[in-house]
Amino acid sequence: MNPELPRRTVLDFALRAGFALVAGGMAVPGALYLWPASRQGPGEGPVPAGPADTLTPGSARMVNARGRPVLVLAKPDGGFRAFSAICTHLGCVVKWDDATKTILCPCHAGVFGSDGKVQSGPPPRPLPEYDVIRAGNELKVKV
Amino acid sequence: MKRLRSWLAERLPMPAIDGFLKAQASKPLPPHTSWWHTFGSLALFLLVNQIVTGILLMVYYRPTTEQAFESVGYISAKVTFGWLIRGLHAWGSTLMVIMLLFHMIRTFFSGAFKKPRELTWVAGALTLAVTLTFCFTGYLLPWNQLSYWATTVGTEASGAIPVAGQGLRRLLLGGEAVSQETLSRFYVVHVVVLPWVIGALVAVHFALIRVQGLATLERVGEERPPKGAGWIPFFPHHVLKELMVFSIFLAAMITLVVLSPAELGEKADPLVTPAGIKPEWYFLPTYQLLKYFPQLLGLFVSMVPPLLVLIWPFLDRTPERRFSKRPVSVAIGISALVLAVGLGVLGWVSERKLSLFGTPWHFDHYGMPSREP
Repeated sequence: MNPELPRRTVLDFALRAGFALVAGGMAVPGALYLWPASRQGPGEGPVPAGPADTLTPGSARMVNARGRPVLVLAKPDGGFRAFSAICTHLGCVVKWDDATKTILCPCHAGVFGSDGKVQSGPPPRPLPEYDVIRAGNELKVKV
Repeated sequence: MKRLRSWLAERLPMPAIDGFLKAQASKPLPPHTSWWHTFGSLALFLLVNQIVTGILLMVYYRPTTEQAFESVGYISAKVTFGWLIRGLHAWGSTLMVIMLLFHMIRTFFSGAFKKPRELTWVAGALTLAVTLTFCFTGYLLPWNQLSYWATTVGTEASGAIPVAGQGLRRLLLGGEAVSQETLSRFYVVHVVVLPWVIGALVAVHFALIRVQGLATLERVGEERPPKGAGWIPFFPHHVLKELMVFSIFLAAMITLVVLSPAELGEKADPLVTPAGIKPEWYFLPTYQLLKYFPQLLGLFVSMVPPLLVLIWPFLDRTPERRFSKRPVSVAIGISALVLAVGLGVLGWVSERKLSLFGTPWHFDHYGMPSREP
């Protein structure tokens, strides 16, 4: 038996394993570096959504909630509801259609009701709803 | 020149280098080599165009959400010949996709992908995939409404992949929505990562072509050796043909840039999605196909055609190369082309109002027409 052979095999293995460990060790921070560092969007506290008296029953207003669109609806019987204005299909921004009292997506013809539920088209889920707070005449949305 | 040569000869094996270059230049091409064989060279010509014009655009382009749109406007309106450089880059990308598709169609129907050239085909198919990734990442860079929302829709689609989808989407976007992080990522991928990838793929593709030579029309295993009557010398015969095509093509491209300049539109507004957002023409078949299936199934279905293209040489292993002797694969090829064009047309007309022979029609989400009242 050649006594050199096992030693070489062990050395060879150690070299390969060492290389794999170093490469792997470097790849992990590299991959984590590419992972987004912080979540964007919601910060602390509710977002101002404008005065309540200018939002007539059955109408809607688009609010910029820290860079994300939110649709605030005035219910016909009083009170307010707020929905994320990002379509659950492929992320386009939806619009309130005053004539049909529905929420329409301009990209793939998705239609949501005034309760945020899907009425027709490809969206797989209803629009996420947010709480609306009324402080005097000021509306605020908890996103 | 002579002194430079003798200086080099003292340091490098010049006879071997000369011999290699001469062998490459005089390499004979099969007798059927024709104008159809210039599509691949045209794609290479366009790749060079994209690299040169891309470097020039980078001199003025600023990859930030505040300045990207304005800097592209500045290039188009203020920089001397900026409109030409941007136009050549924008038209060059579309034409490169067309030339790669034509080159692939020629290769498919002439059976040139068969043994021993399977890997040449695979490298070519991957080059097309990388070119489309170039198009997708480059489309966002002007930061206008169309590019912003096309990127939103394109990246959201990846979120439907089970398990890894949401993570992949977040990794692509660099956050929850298309933003500065997305622009930075797409910019780095577009100008640094992809050029190296496409460079490597094209190098492999060309090395394989030079080693194996162009395919003849004989059956697999019965190819004639590259000598005898009818074989065409690469230089000067084929090179002259290519130079002629390049000249005409460049003139046509500049004409397109002048007659149909690259548009800029409106600056991206993350709070307003414009109506009728459509992807570029080369993504229209996939865009339309995705509409006919639920999101997850659609993703799987849309992945089948590119996968089939990639592995086609390993599926079609019949020895025949001639068009007329391969009725099944030719029928499959023609059907695939008709399907792709059909889906593309449906994608283009969908959600549009068009007037055909004086009658107004509305095409719905699925491309089905109905008469306008």
